[in-house]
Amino acid sequence: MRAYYAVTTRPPSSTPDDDLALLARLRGGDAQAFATLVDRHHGPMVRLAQVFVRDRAAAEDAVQETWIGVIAGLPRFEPRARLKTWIYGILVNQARSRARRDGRDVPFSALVEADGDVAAAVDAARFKAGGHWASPPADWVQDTPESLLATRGAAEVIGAAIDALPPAQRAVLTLRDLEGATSEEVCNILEISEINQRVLLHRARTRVRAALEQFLQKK
Amino acid sequence: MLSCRELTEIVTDYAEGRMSFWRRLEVQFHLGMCHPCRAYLRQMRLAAQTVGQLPPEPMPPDIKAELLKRFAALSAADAAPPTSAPPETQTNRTPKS
Repeated sequence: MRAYYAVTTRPPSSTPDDDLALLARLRGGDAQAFATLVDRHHGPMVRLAQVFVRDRAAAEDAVQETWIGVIAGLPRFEPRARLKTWIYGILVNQARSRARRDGRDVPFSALVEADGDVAAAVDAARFKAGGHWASPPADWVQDTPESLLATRGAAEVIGAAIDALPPAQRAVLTLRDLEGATSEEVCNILEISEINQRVLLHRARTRVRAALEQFLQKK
Repeated sequence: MLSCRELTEIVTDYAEGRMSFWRRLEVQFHLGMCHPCRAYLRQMRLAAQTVGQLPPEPMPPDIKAELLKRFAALSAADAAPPTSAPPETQTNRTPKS
C-alpha cells in the first residue's frame, strides 16, 4: 500500500556509482558529458538561484559562475559528497554573493522564517463540520504525468504555480521535485532541518496540486 | 478517528514515511474507506511527479559554448591530474573560482 500511495517514488537521479563514472568522464575532459550535465541541471539551477537574487539575468549569471567554479574545482573534488550536492552548494554560495553585491542578502533561514504560509492545505469551506469532504476532489482524467503534460496549457500552469510560490517553498520544491534530490540532499544544500524541509515541501506541493485542480476544472 | 480535513494536512508526512506506525495505520485505514482522500493523495503524488517531468530548459547556446571552451582549456592544462590533492581541497562546498 505504501508504495502505491507514496508521492516520492522518483528514484534519485544518480547513484554514487554513477557519480564516480561521471566524475571520471569529466576529469578525462569529456565535453559531451559536461554539456549534458549543464543542460540537465540548467532549469532547476536558474530557479533555485532566483530565490536569492534580483532577477532572472542575475540568476543566470550565478549559474554560469557556478559552472566556472565547478570546472575549476573538478580536479580537487573529493567524492565524499554527491556531485549534485556539491554543485548546488556552490550555486547557493554564488547566488548569495551575487545578492550581497546587489545589496539584498537574505540568508535562507530568514526566508524559511518569513514563510508565513498558514493557509490550510484545502479551503475549510470544502469540508463539513466534522471534517469530512463536502466538496470532494474530482477524479482527474489525466492520471499520469505524461497525460497531464499532453494537456495543452498544463505545463504552463505548473510553471506559473512554481514561480508564484513563496521563496523558501520554491527552493525546496525545485530541488525535490524538479531536480529530483532526496530530502537529505535538500537539507544539506539549503542547510535546513528535515522538519522544515518537509513542511515547505508539503505547502509547495499543496499549492501546485491546487493550481492543477483549478486548471482541470476549467477544461 | 482521522478526518479528511486532517488527512490533507499530513499526506506529505505519510508520503515521506515520517509517521509513527500507529498513525500510518490510521491513515491507511482511512484511505481504504475514503475514495476522495485516495484521489487527493494520488493528485498530490501526480503533481510532484509531473513537476519532475516538465520539459527541460537547456542552457542558452552562447553561454554553454563559453563554458565548454573553459572546460576544454582546463582539461588540456590538466591532462595529467595530480595524484594527491593539495590540503585546501578539504572544503568541497566552496571552491572559489
